[in-house]
Amino acid sequence: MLDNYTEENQPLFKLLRTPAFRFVVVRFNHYSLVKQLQSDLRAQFADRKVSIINTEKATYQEILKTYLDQEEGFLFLENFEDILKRDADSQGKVSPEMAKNNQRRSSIAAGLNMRRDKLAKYPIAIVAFVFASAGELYARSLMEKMPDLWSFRSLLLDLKQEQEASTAKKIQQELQWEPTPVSTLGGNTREEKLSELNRLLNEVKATPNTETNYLRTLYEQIAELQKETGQYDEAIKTINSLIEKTEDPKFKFGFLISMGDLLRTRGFFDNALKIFIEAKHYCKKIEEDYPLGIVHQRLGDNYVDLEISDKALSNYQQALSIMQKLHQTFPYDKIYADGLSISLFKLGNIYQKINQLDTALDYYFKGLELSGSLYNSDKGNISYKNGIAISNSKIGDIFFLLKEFDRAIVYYEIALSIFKELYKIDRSKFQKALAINYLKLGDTYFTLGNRTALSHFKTGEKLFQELSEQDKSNLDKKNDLAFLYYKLGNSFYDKQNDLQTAKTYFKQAQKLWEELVATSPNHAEFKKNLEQVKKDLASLSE
Amino acid sequence: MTNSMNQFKKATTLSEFYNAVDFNIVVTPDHEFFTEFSDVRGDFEDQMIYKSFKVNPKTFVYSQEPGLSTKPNLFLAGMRGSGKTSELAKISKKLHNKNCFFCVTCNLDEGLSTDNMEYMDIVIFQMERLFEELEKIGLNIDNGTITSLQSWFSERVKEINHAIKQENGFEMEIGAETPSLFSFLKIAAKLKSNLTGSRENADKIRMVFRNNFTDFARKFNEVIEKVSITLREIDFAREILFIIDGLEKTATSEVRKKVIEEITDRIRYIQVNTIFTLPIELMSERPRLIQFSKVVSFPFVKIVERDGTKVAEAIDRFRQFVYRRIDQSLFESTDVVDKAIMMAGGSPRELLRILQYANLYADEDAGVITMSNLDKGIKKLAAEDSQFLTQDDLNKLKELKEANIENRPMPPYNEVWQDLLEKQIVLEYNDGTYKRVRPVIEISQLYQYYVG
Repeated sequence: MLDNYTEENQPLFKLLRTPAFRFVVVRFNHYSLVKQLQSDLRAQFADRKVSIINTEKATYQEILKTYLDQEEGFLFLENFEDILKRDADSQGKVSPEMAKNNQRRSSIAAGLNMRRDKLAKYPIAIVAFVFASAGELYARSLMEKMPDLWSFRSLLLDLKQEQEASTAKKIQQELQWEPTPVSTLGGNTREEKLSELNRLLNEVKATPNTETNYLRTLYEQIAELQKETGQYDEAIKTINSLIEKTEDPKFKFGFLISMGDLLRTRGFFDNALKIFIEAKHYCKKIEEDYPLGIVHQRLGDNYVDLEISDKALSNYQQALSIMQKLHQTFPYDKIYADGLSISLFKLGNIYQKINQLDTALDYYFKGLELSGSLYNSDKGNISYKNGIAISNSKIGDIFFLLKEFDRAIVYYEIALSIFKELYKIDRSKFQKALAINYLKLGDTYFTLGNRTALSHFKTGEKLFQELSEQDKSNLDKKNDLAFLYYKLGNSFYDKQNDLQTAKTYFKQAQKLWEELVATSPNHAEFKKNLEQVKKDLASLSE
Repeated sequence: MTNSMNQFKKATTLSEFYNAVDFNIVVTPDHEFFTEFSDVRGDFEDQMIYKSFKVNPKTFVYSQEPGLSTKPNLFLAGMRGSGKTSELAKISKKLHNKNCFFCVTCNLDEGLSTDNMEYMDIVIFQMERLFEELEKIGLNIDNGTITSLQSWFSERVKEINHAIKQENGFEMEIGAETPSLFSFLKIAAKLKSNLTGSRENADKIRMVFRNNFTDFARKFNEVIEKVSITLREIDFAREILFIIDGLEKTATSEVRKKVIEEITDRIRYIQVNTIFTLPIELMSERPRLIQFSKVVSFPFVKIVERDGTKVAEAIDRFRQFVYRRIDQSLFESTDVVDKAIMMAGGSPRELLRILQYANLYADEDAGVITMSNLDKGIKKLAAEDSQFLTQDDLNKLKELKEANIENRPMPPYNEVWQDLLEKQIVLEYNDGTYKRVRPVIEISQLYQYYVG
């Protein structure tokens, strides 16, 4: 492991030889450095007393009492960057709970600063650990918040550990790990949806063939409900009959797109491709640019399925160019802005997939900017707010892959705070996104050896379990829970080399995927996931 | 008929004059005051509207196979006072028949809050109005459809209440009732009353419906089609037509613009024949609107050609318009009425306003409106309406006057023109290719001094 640990610490150890008041700030980019420094200081100065306080959870009174009771030695203030933070929601509003936490932070900074002379009377070295996610200007913020204590600072250290590549498994990149939208049709549970489906199918039987418009409104809902209840082949048949019955090219185009999407879900990628190409022909009849942009996006997705990255890229670029043109011509049209936003994400995804991470990052930042401006134009729209959260989460993903974990944490934290707000507004829609983000953040902290990871994992797991409990027969929710276990298995295996825990999680995932494949044997993704987890378990047993 | 409509009768004395020229009351085609202007509006012809909805303009029979056709949206764009509402009332009356449409008129200014309105409110209002009209004719819809719709709405109300509860607001109380047309109407009415109530609750309702708009549109479309089939079965109408009027009456241009933006974003999901009135200042949104809709200009009646020739037929129609409301004996001479017509510039509402002002100066004892009364009224109106003209406005008006004199094409469109049209300083004819300064402004001192 390459790092500057030894070189950077030399002056510190020299400084601490003489017991006296010291205020040392240690900035670090990996939590293992904190543990190592604490351990080395204990070893070097074995006769000195040591106290450790987690600043995130402490009050000023607790810190002061610990300090005064200790009389000499070391006081390690972990997560000291917390005092630089200020909680607020995405509109700058501060809830009473947030205000209380902000007040706690201010008291620590103000209190330590005010009691500087008192503190300085004790031969205690305060070592404040500041994680790199606090940003390059953390020192300036500290100076502003506690100018008197700052003037007494003894040393600033910047410990850096060269990050090792995360041995991310291939499946982590390939599995669907973003929330899948579920309609409100029929109700919230599978049973309710099946009952509504039954009503609609009976209604179709009772309706004359000549009532095309009514049949279309029924079939659209039927297809959606069949898809949501795992009846993919039936949904394909339904859409097929819609395509045959419809003359209007606009409707026909829409149904072809739905058909292609379903075929992709079933894993019939070649057939999906034919359908999307047919949809592209209809774009000429419609004579509108927007459908053409949509079909290029779908073709790009389909080429991703088929692992033909160059064609995927070229289609995504064509979609982007169309959406950009539409957005420029009609800057206030939100459908086009959405289309542009999706194009930017798709390009970000594909560049991420072909490992051109800088380019991917560029697209995600553009997506973030667009989502931000859309949200500012309509602050009540949760889909724009969601766009901001997803952008931040995606940017976090790239920084994670670039091994810039401190920056990944910054973006994941922003995403998490927005998802928390969205979750408050609409639990059913955002519980999964929130859970995923807890796991992403946990995974990053795990990589950095921070024990905060476990609490994030726990919260994420709880959210996923709740989702699954709400509707045990829901296939997507079960798949999500399986994926969660798989993800946790990976984390314990990759980052902790904890084979036993990893195996337990993998087995839980395997059990759920086996159930899913038994219920829905034609679902391509379920089968692929089951095969992968079996392979992983086999490799752990070798 | 309402009380105001009862008082809305031809004036035979000056004391009845004020009521007869009240321009805030919509004149329906069956009212004695109704005057047909469609054939004297230059490029506009009402058959454009009928044909857009595939209706034979002579027989008013829907010419498509019901259940098969696509459902157009049409925006009728005209200046305030040009007679859009009366025209829509006429259209509704003609098309509301068993061989054509079940027309449902939604007057936004009567049903919704004019200072806080979004497109979501309009769609909920449309549903409420449709169900009200269905109840009037005692139509029964299939119970499965209503049950599904009511269940979907009840779930949304739960979501809304959850959001309201988060902020300790007053939740909406909706009792569990056996689904029926009436029970659903109660839910829709409750939602609508909350939309016009506290802003916080209105925002929560909109948020939930906006965030589930695709499904909302699916349920809406299903109900529309189911009702249409039932209407055909009982031989009451072939399809449904919504007429949505009053958007220009919303409090601010921001509200109007926002509603139009939302309409263009979402209307592609709603499948129902609809006519909207479009405030003139939003004509600049035309390029966006024509992607999914048809936009028809509804100009003022042209009483003078660009070269100054008077349009006799149009002037004569305005004489009928005046004499249906006010007995000829209440004017000193027909010249008084003719002058008022010319000063109104082809706007029925402006003509009524001029007559109102003339009446302000009339001597009750003499019992007639004289030319002198009219001149004084016009002078007062001119002074009032021209006082806010800026130097920029006057420069533009000079440019317009010169273009008309030299028969040059109209100066290119820009926001200043739009503003002048919105304030009715400039009036528009044909499809917007002919504009002229409002005659009352032309006689103002300010105009005379700066433009000449």
